[in-house]
Amino acid sequence: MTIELIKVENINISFQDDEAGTISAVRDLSFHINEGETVGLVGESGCGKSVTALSLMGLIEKGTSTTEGEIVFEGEDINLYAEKKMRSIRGNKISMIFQEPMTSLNPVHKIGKQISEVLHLHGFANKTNSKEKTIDILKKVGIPRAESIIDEYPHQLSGGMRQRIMIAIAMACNPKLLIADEPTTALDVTIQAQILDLMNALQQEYNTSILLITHDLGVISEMADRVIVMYYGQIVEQADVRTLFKQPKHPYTIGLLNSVPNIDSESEERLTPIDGNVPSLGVIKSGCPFRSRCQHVHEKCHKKNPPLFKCDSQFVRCWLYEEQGVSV
Amino acid sequence: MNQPLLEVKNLKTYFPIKKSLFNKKKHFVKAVDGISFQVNKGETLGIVGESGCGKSTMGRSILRLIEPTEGSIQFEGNEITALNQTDLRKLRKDMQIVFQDPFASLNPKMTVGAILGEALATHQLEQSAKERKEKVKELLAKVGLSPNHIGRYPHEFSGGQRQRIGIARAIAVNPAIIIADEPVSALDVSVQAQILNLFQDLKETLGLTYIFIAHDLSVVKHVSDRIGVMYLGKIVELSDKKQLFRQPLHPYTQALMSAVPSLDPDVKKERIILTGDVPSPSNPPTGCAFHTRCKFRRAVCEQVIPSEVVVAPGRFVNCHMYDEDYRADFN
Repeated sequence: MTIELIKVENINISFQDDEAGTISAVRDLSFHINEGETVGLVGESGCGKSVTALSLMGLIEKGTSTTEGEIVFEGEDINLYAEKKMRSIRGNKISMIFQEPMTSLNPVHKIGKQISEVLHLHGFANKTNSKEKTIDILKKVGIPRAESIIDEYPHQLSGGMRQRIMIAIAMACNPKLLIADEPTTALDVTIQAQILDLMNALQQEYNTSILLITHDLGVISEMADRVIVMYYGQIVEQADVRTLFKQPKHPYTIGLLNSVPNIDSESEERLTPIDGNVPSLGVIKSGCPFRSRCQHVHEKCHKKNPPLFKCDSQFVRCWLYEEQGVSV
Repeated sequence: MNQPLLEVKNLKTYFPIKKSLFNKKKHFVKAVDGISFQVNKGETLGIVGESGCGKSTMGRSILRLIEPTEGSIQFEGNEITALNQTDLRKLRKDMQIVFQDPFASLNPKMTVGAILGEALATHQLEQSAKERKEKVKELLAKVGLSPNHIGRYPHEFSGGQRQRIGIARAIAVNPAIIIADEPVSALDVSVQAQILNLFQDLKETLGLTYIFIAHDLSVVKHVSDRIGVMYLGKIVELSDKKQLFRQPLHPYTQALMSAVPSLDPDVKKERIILTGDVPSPSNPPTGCAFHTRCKFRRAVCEQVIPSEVVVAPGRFVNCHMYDEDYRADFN
């Protein structure tokens, strides 16, 4: 049976800018993640995928920005939590790994300290067993010579090793949900393969749910069970991984898939890119935000932003599917 | 047989590492350590490898933007390493480079018109300012930008457009060969495809030759005719693209290919997961540089540096497994 772990409902994230006024980064975003499931979040820079991840962690600074909507985790709306209460969840039940492990590790603290800190904070270790537990965790993420690494500093390690340390910190408290924001983008492919392998193994062992954010469609195809495609702060398509890659529906998803050279094909075909660029946030006020780059643009697209239409198990935000789908 | 457009023989680029005051023994980072290849007119040679393998240093050494330590580089039969600065500058008209980060490689204080005009002026291609302006407009149109953009500054463009300016600057002087160093890796996928197509179009219309350096194997496969795989300063395998992908020979090439995630969720690749990291080029392993991560490793690999084994015309691999002398060791 599938158990829903986290449910995001209608979140809207906006930022205040002195010049441009209110900029809406994420609009009417709803999705859920089941236990043990990997949900992939794909989109190009500026589509709102990282902001979405930060909002789940309660890491969006209040004051200059607002997050409206519900984020229900284990039955409670964590968007309403005060910072202090959120802290008991962050790093404990929901944790996150970032793209650049060098900037997310503290350069002046030893590796061992950075891991044991999380354990102490959430009551998973005390003074007597913290070293032993830290070494255990490092071994779990495949760090060789863990006993000596705990006394080293981040700069002494390679990029792949640093990302393993980040994963070790994130997995230290055995979280229910792991948010991985471009975890392998800064790494070489052979190291990427190691890290993806590790994430898979840890997920199998602990039944962790993973929200995997990346722009790399290959990584998504390998790792995800379900995929959400974002464009301009909105979900434009959502489907299980097979359907998304075999029968993409939204013109943007189709465009993305056609833009990537396929390593498994021998054809010498030209790529069919999407014309133009992603418009800056706040520029498009009405209508479908993809219309300026879309080949199927028609009158309705200029007037009104389409809702998500449900076509079988697939959700797609495009007027082309108005007739065959059911609006949600 | 036709003479190759560019021939690189045994190219080496070493960087000295400063040692302490009393230790006078010189140490080097062997960024490029004995590379040889040819590029024929009109083809695209792809160079693929992971960070730190020396692919960018190699690209820059060929243009002498970094002085190579040893070896020969011949462009249309002329030895580049022997040229003085004046002649070298003239030669750079024929050999251009496109960099990865289009923002860092364009002067933020200059308008696009000035950036492209400078390239023309340096090589004295258009005499009057008016002619230059016309030529710049023509260039902008060629790379898919509006001629009206001539007065804009780099920050007013998106990443993809900036890369188009970088390309316009390279083709401004009608080069014979362009070395493209990770030209699309800073771009979003939809824009990346636009730039890859632009490279292809320009190659056809202007009869260009490319050395295309990238870490992304699928991109390199898409653009190249032949591909060289680099590891720790050496080309470990060089082959025609089709043959390389049908049957990768070097264990590193095999691992590299298996590591690239497939776009088809039904394909479950048999992954060869390499253990450990790339060793430091300042202290490379003895013998074959790859032996520390190779699953076929034999005693000979730790002692003897493999030499190029020609396995088919135009195809070589740097691995003892394919060497007649050592084949018995691998049975």
